[in-house]
Amino acid sequence: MTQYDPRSSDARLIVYLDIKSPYAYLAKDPTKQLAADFDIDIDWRPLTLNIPSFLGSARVDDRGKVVESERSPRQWSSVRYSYMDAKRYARIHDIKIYGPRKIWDTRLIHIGFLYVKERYADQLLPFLDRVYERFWLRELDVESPDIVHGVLREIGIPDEDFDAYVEGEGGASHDTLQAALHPAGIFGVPSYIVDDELFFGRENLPYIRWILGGREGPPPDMAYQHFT
Amino acid sequence: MIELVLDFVSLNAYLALGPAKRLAEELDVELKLTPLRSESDLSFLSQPSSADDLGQRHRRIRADYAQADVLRYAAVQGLNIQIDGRNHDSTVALKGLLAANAEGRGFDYAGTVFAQFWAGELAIDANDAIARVLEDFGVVDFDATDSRWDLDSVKAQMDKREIYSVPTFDVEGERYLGRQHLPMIRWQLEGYQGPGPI
Repeated sequence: MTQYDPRSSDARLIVYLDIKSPYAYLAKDPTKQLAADFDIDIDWRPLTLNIPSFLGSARVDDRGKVVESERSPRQWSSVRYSYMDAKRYARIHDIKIYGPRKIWDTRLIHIGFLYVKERYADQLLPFLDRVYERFWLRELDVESPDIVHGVLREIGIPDEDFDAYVEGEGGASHDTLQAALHPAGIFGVPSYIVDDELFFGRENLPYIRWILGGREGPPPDMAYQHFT
Repeated sequence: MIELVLDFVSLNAYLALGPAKRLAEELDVELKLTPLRSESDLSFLSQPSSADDLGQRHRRIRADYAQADVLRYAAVQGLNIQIDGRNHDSTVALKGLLAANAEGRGFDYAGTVFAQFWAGELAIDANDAIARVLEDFGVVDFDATDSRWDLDSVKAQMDKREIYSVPTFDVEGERYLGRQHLPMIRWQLEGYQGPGPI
């Protein structure tokens, strides 16, 4: 089993993502660009959010009608705003985000994330690209073992021992990492760790860029800033 | 026009004020300030308890992060922040903003109140203290009980517009929660020209 220190890595930057977060989806490509600009490695890691624990739970039908809800009006307002906000930024970059009809359990696909990361590292970014795109088009049941096997095969990754990995070291690595995150102060996605400093949200990329660039000049304010 | 909805107890609202003003001046658009009572950025702070469930732990850790984050960026902006660990009622100061707006001095008043309050030099819940600030902006004999300063009706309007948190920007009907959207607001006001924000 691989043991992860939540705030430490051989890579210059640690990035935590959850497949079911549209904000993590929006952060993925600008973060890749950042790594390319500074020629650094990123230690990509899964963070499996338990959304009902802090934002209530809900399910909608095929037409978007709420059929189950344990959310307060304030929680609904926050959720509606978040999807509206994520979609307007997604449109700029031709990313399609269809609102999910339920809160997905991303544990299995995140164990797949670790499987690819630990055994076929050069395929991790293609894996994330494919999973994010198809999940947010509502084309991927990330709770289905058969579907996750299929994604692995699509990008040329041998999947014969994936089930054993889920039941054994992969599941254990995932669960141990998740249990270590709150005590390390890490709670959401996208989160970034650089020089042991935690940043939550892609609006911090200008500041992270300033750190990676050697902290020259005054630090920038937070912003969803485009970089050329 | 850029509308900025704010509360003086919000450090994030304080951090939004200066950048919003600079953007409005640069693009030559009006900046309107609207008061809204909200929860302090720091109000969730509490000590960990063995009785915390997952949700409570998440909210506490998030609040701890939020405080560290806002202080990090307050330092970036060079703001003097003194945290006294108490919750403050901003009702009187927010009514004062309505009075200052009526004189066309809302931005100057808000900047003064934010700076003095967060430096620990102003009691924002004291009518006398707020009245003294307002005298510098052309408001005499301010009385927070005056029915003209009707925060409740402003709150009702915000509720209808689903504006529930600060700082919120409203630009031509587009709502943005937080100053991180200022590049998007700029892009919108410039007619969506050039590359959009991330």
